Order: sequence, then structure tokens, then C-alpha cells
Amino acid sequence: MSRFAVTHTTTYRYQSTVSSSYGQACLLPRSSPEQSVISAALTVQPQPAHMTTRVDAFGNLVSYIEVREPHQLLEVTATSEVDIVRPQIQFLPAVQESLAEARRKLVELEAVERVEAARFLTASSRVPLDDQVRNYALASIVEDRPVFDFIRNLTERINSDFTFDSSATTVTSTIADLFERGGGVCQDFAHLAVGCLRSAGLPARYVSGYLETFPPAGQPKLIGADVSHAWAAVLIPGAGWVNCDPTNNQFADDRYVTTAWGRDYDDVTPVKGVIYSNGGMTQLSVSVDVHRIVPDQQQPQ
Amino acid sequence: MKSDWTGYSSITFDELVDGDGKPRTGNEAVFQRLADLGPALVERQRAAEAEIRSMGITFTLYTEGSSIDRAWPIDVIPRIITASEWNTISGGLIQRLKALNMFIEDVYNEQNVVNDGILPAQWLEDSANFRTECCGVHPAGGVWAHISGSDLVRDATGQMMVLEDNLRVPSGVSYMLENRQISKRVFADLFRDLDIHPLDNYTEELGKMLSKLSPRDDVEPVIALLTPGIFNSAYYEHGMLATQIGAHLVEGSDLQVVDNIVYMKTVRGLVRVDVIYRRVDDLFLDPAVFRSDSTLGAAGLMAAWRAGNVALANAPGAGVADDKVLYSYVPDFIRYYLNEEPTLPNVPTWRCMEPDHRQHVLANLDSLVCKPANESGGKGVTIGNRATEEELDHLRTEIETDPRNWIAQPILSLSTSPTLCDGIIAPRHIDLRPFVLSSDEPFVSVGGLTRVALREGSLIVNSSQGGGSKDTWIVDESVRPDRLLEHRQPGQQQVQRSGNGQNPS
Amino acid sequence: MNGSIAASPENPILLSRVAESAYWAGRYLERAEGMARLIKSHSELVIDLPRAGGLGWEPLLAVVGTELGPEYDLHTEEAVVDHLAHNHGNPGSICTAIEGVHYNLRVTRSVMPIEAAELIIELHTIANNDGRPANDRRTRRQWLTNIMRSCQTLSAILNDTMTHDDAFSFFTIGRQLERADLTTRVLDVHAGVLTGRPTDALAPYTGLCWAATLRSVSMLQAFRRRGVSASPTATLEFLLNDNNCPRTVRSCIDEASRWLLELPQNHEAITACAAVGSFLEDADVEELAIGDLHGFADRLEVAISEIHQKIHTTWFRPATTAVLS
Repeated sequence: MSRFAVTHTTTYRYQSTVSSSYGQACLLPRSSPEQSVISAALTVQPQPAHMTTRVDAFGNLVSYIEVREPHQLLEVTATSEVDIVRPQIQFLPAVQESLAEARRKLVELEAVERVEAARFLTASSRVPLDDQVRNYALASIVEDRPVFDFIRNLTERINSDFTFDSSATTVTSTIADLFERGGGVCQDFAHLAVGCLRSAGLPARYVSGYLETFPPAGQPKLIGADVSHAWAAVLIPGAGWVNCDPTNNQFADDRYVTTAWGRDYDDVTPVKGVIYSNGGMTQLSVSVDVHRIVPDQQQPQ
Repeated sequence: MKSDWTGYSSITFDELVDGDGKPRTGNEAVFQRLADLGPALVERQRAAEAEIRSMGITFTLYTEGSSIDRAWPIDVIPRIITASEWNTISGGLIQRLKALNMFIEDVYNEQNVVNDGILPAQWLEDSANFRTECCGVHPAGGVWAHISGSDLVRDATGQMMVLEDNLRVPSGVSYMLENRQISKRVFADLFRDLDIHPLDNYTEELGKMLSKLSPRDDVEPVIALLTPGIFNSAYYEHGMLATQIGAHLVEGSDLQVVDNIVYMKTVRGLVRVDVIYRRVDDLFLDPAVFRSDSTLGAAGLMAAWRAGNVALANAPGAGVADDKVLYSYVPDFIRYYLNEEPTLPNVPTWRCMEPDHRQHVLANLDSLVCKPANESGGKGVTIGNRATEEELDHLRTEIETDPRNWIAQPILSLSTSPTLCDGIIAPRHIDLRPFVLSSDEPFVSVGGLTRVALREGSLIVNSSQGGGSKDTWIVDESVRPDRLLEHRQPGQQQVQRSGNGQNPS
Repeated sequence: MNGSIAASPENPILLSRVAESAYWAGRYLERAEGMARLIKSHSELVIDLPRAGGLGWEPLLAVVGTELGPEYDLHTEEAVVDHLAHNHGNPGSICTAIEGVHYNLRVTRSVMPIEAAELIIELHTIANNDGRPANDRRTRRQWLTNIMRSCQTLSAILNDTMTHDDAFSFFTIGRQLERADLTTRVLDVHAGVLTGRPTDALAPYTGLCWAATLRSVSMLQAFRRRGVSASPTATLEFLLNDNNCPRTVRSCIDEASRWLLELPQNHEAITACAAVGSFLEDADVEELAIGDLHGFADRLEVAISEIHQKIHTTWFRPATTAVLS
């Protein structure tokens, strides 16, 4: 088990004074079978006139924020502590069944699970199931090979075919942009993975969260130097949702903290909204700190 | 113009006369009156058109980026429905809307309809107007589509059926009301002699229904009608309805959310708004949640609505069932939610994403009407027997590429109604859009907006595509006033369900 | 946050946006009528004066503070009149003003009487006559008269049928301010040109010119009834300060103040009106008639536009978002 303290601060600096700001944040971590949330809080500066947090259609925590105090700096900070225990999925028998079998077993799911799965099966606004995506997926699809091999192969291919290049894409980039530029960031990789998994007939989610990172050898870990992360999760009947990370070419383990999931980025946008001002530039900065802590009640072994 | 009806004949079911050219029940007086008028009918038509221009009744037409105000096209010859048939129709609409509202409430909450296998989950997820942002909300009374307009057509056998439902922001009701004003002036004599059911109680009922939605019961509710603005094609209607129900005609920029409560900006300060009759599409309602570039809505509106601080009519997401694929399941919804048989049948519909349906559709493209699942106003509709080979090939590709987005229906020979065309009375195809107000006391407009395809043989009734309109008279056939010139047996029209075995849904 | 203000039958809720439109409907209506009258009276003056007088059409352009666009080659009579009457690209033209009336009355439909709708359409139709009838002297007079008559009829209908509520106040205030503005501009240019240093050629006709000035703001008759001779001082005093004739600057400002009193939070706007009032009071017409009338008129215009600014910030774009209780 791992326990993490996560601090995620989003800061907007405005050139001209903003009279009011209305937005929503999807920054508080959700609970799942692999993750228990010990504490979580969202703070906003200046003090919001109104703030409420609700559970959205996917079970994520979404906060509505209304700030009406004139400001030139808006700071949204989410802090949380979570415990994570993830199974080693390669040892689950279900993932060793064939892709065809996994797909077939979807129809045998309980009604509620089946309905939940259906929403992640089709194209969504940021994940088209077009020829480009289908053809890319085809190279990994072998119907009678274990579904685990399919997922691993797909993850590997995305990782090697595309370079990690934060200058290649933006938050609004499409999968087509990723293909065109040959590079992108975790968001783009995750979208492509989700698209390929869906075009193979498997339900797939886009997951937002964090990954514990380590400083280069011999250097101290710097506060706030982490980043928010995104990956894909695919439903394998009998094994549950399997999280795979094409950006780092690995399956998610205890170092992955989940914030939210949805059909794609648009369902889990960290912060979005509108401001009222007389124009001018906005400067955005994000600082993330994922800090491993030793739980009080647990003795180090 | 001919002063009698010799020569008038329709290739299909005609609303005014039967196959022998005799007026149908309830139509006798109008039939006679039109014959008596002779050429003077043309004068009445001109008078009506002058009236419309002077009253400034317009709709806005968009062509190549510019907009033009066009006078509302009306045909003075009314469309008549007998009261007994109307009772059946309005009962059927109430039943339909009750089921549809239960469906919408269900899909945004428990989703039993999906869990119980009535509707495949995927079709719901793919509905362009399914808004996950609305999940978990329970609008008062479980009503989402407070104001709806379903389009009804009558086929060659005389069967009335539902062609589509409009649950988002149905328009046209002002024209229904204006048409009545006009025809009252043009046919004052007939209104004196016949028992034509009044319809002007619609706006009163609308106002009452909206008032009841107010979250505050200690004050007189403040109602606002949210319009996209003066350049919207239905702006005339927005202004007219707002005036008649005593609502404030507001634009997005007039609204401001303060502490999760919606206010409008007035010269005397902010005034709280309790109910918003919105005529702005979902995606433009709240830039903080939907399209952030929208200036037509108000930031924070969705949160205020979710918190129950303001009522929105129609509720966001109510358009989920406008999807024509979901439409094809409405008879199943009626059975599922109400445990009743639908009174008004659907038009038989093939769903292209179902392989056997698709196969049938692709093999019979030239004898079907194909429609995109999520368009309105007749956009993208291809009528098989009027399309070129090229158009059909294009359609075939579209259906094969994105079958979920296509449905097909048989080409209906819509019923006709006599219409004044260049001084001659000729049969023209029509439909009917009644308006339903849903609440614990549902209300159906008495009649509705009859739209008429003014071009000969055309089946397209949309005003944006050369359609006109008629006043719709609900006439009591059981009362036979002595004043009538002729006495006839009330040979009541038998309403039959078309059990042609072709209905795939 | 505790409640907000409630509507009452005497005090129906008026949206800021609708108030702004009512105000601009008033301004544009007055502008269209005023411009038509101005062109008409100038045409008459030009016909009356000998060519040698050198009175051109430029002064009219100066009144509205506009210049001919590149689409016009020369400052001919036809070009100037076309620009002022028919040019949709000129924000001060009759056509543009009527477009403004049409648009703003559509916005204010809910607070405007239904009887006005037909007239607005009629006015719009006259204004958009394809033939550009103002350009030709033979058709100009009739067209301008039609415009003026339609504007006046519309004003009269609105005056007689509109409830005297906030919307009516804004409409009336808009009309009065536009009127005051126009009278000031006419003074500035028309009279200024004539009183300062009349050219020798024009000297014998100054009386005619003054009469034309009065006529262009529809006050010649009223002035003559006073039985005073049309000296520059008497005319100036009349145009600025007479408080019986409805188009003098003073009358307009007084009338605007009267309607401002009906509105909430009117302090700043009323103060701005009072400033114009004292400005007029302090005017030394003897001095102005031979001195810096131009500078005076400029300052007066600024003072009048200050009232507009106050109205704008108080009611149309209030900076505060506080909920009133």
C-alpha cells in the first residue's frame, strides 16, 4: 500500500482586474476499489462567494466556484491524502483470456455494470472512432491472443511511435494532431489509447490523476515539481478496470493517484469557466506536489 | 377561381373532402362558405396578408450569412378537425408526454429503462442531446419537457401518427395564435355560426404552468423568457409570448448569478428571477459548464438550477428524446412507464445501426425517407423517390459510415388540405404541431399549428423551406346548429391503427 | 443575500438593456427628424441666397461632425445630401437613424404600444426608398416632409399611448438630450459661421441666415411671435434660454431633468443637468454674438454629453453588482 499527500495548485494571473469568475473544478480525488480517500479539500483565493461540490454523472467530484470579488490573481488549490492498493493485474486469470472472449463476456455482465460499460464503448467528443484510430488499433488486435497482450502491445506501440513533446500539442489538440505531429503529452496518448481500446470493442475510460516521480539520483525532491497525469483504463470482465499508461509504457501501480475519470478529457477538465474583465492577458501556472507519506497507524516494515 | 368544388381532388387523404368530393363531417359549413365566397376568397387572402404585414408578424430567414424578416405566410382556408377525433389526439399526446417526461427523469437518474433492457445503453449515450451535466437532478414534479410540440401527420389511410417530438425549444406557437386572430377577422361570419373551440387560453395556461414552477412560494414569481436575441428566427414569437404571459424578455447579458441565485439587471437594481422559460439551446445556457464562448446564457445558471434556486423550462437535457433513434422507442416507453398501449402510433422507423434494419434501408433507399437522428427543421432529410442517383449514393456512404446517425421511414403521402395557390384552390400536403404543457395538470393547445407545403407535391412544410400555415379549427360535430345549410349524418371518422406488419420498432 | 426589489404596478421592472434601447429609440427618432428638418431648411436657405454668398453645403457636414467618404468625389450638393440622408455608412444619416429607431423599438417591443409597430414599419419603408429621393431638389422636399411627419406621428403615438413608466422616461430623456444636442450643433456651425465674421457678400443677408437657423430647429414661428427683431443676441438668447419653446436648449434640459426625477438613483444625472442649466444661465449672449460662440457651443456640447455619460453609468452599465434590498 502507498499513501500520498497531493497538493495541486492552479494559479491564474490576469493583466486587468477580473470583476467576477464562474467556473468548475474537477480536482478532488474520487474513491475507488483501489483508492481510499482519507482527506480532501479545495480552497480558492480570493474567497468564493459561493462554492458547492457535487458528484457528477461519472462519480467524480466536481466543484462549482463563484468568485465575485475583483481580483487579478485566482488560485485554486486541491489538497488530499489517499491510500492506494492496486492488484498486479498480469496475475489475474481473466486477463489471460482471449480478446474475443473478453469482448464476448461483456454481455454477461450484470445489467448495471453493462450499462456503465456501454457509456465508455462509443466515440466521444475528444475520441473519434475514425479510420485513423481503427487502423492504428488493428495492428495490436489478435482476436485469439490474451487480452493482456493486446493491451500491453498497444501501450508499448503508442509509447514508441510517439515522442513525449509538450510543445507539439495543447489541451485542445485532437488525436489527429497527435498523428500529424508525431508527438504530444499524456493527454493525447491517453486519448489515443482509449480510442484504440474502444475500437477493439472494449469499454475504455480516460483517467486523470498523478504519478509519483523521483528526482535525479543524488538530488532532493523539489516541492511542486510534479505534474498532473492522464492514462487509460479498460474494462476486462472478471478483472475489472485495468489501468494502463502509454506515456510511461506501464500498467498503473501503487504510485498512480486517481482524481477522476470520464469518456475523455472534456469530462474531467481540471479547471474551466469564464471570467468577466476588460480583456488583457491571462497567465496560467500549475504546481503539483505528490508526496509519499508513511501512514501513522502503520509501522514501517 | 372556381366557385364550386368541381375539379378539386387530392391524390391522397384530404382533410376537407372525402373520396367522392363530399365534405367530411364538421367541414360542411366551411365547404359551403368557401363555395359561396367564390372569387371573394382571394380578397380575404389579400386582407389576411395585409393584416400580417401591418401587425409585423415575421419570421427571420437566414441566407448566406444575412438575415431577412419575412412576413409569416398564412393560407386563410382553415384546417378542420372534429372534436371527437381531437379528444383522442390530445389524450394521446398527454399520454406520450407523460411517458417522455418519465423517461427523461429516469435516464438522468436511475436509468431503469436501460437497466431493464428496454433501451440499449449505447443509443442513450450516443444521443447528441444527452447531457451528463444533468445527471442526478430532479426538477419539480419530475417534469423536464414542460413545453413540447410533437409533429403529427396523417397518412393516406387517414391514420394520425406522430412524426417527431420537439422537447428542446419547440417554436411556432405564436403563429398558431396569430393565425387564429387573422382567421377570426377574415371569417367572422363562420365564427358566429360554428362552434369553433377557442384556443387563446394557451398563453394563460402557459403562464400558470410556469408560475407553478417557482421555487419561492411566498412571493409573486418573476418569470423571464430567455431569448438568443433580436436576430433569432423566432424572436418575434419570444416577444409576443413574453408580453402575453407577463414575462420579462431577457437576453443572457441581462442575467447575473449572485450566490447561486439568478438575477436580472434592471434600472432599479438586481431583481431575482424564479422561472426562466428559455429559448436558448442547452449548450449556450451556461458558459461555465457548456460552451465557454457563449454569450447567450449566464455563467452559474446550471449550478443555480441544480440547487433548485431557479426553474428552467424546458430543463436542460430534455432534448435527449428528440433523437430520432430514441423517438422510435417511444411506444415502448409508453408501455414500460405507463403500462398502457400508445394511443397515437409512431411512423414506422428503421434504425440504421441495427444490421437487419440497415440492410433493409440500403436495399430500399429509393422508397424511404432517410433522416439524420439529431437534426431539426427538415435538415439533411432525403426523400428517396425524389433524390438523384448521386444523392442516394452519397446517402448510402453516410449511412454506412455513421449508421447511428440515421433512421429511415416509409415515404408517407401526407394528407392534403385545400389551399389557395395563385387564386386557385388546390390540395397541398400538411402536418400539425400541437403544443403540450406538462405538469400535474397537463394541457394541450386546442388544435395546433397546421403547416402546409405551398409547392405542389412538396412534403416539406418548414417555413424556412417554403412552407406556410393555416388556422386549425376544432369543431364540435355532435352539435348540429340549425343555422347550417345542410344536414348530414355525423359519419364519424374511424381511427384505426395501421397494422401493416412493416413496423420494425 | 436578502431578497431583492419587488415590482409594483406603478413601477414595473425595466431591464437595463431595454432602458438603454428606449433611450436610444428616443435619440434616433429625434435625430432622424432633426436631420430631415436641417437639410430641408438649409436647402431653402441655399435657394434664397445669391450664389455669390458662397454658402456651400459644408456647414451641414460640420453640424453632424462628419466628412464625406471616399465614395463621393466632390462636395456637391447631391453628395452632401446623399451622405446625410441616404448613406447607411454614415452613422449620422437619416437612414442610419431610422435603422436605429427600428432596431431599438424592436428590442423594447414589450414596453412599446402595439399601435407603434405599424408606423415603425412604414417609417422604415419610407427611409429605405430605393430612389434616394433626397438627392434631387424636386423630390427632396416631399421625402423630407414625409420623414418628419412619420417621425412626429410615431412620437405622438408613443407619447399618447405609452404608460408613463420608467421606459417612457428613458425614451423621453433620449429625445430631449438629442434635441438639445442638435440645437447646440446648429448654433455652433450654422450661426457660428454667420455671426463671427460674416463675409461681405453675405452681410446683407444675415437676417435671412438667422431665420434659417431658427427654421432648422423649427423655432422661427415661435420666435417671430415674440415680436422681437432677429438680432443675433435676441436669437441666441432665444435658442439657448427660452423656457416656453420646446426646442431651446434650456427647455430640453429642463424637460430631461423632469423625467430624470422619476428615476431612482438620479442624483448624478440631475447634477449634470443642473450644470448645463447654470452654464446656460451664465452665458453672455452680447459677448457671444460677436465673440467665441464656437468655443461656447463646444463646451455646451461637452456638458450635455456629460448628462449622457451619467445616465449610461447609472442605469445602463452599472459598475456595482450589489443586490438592492
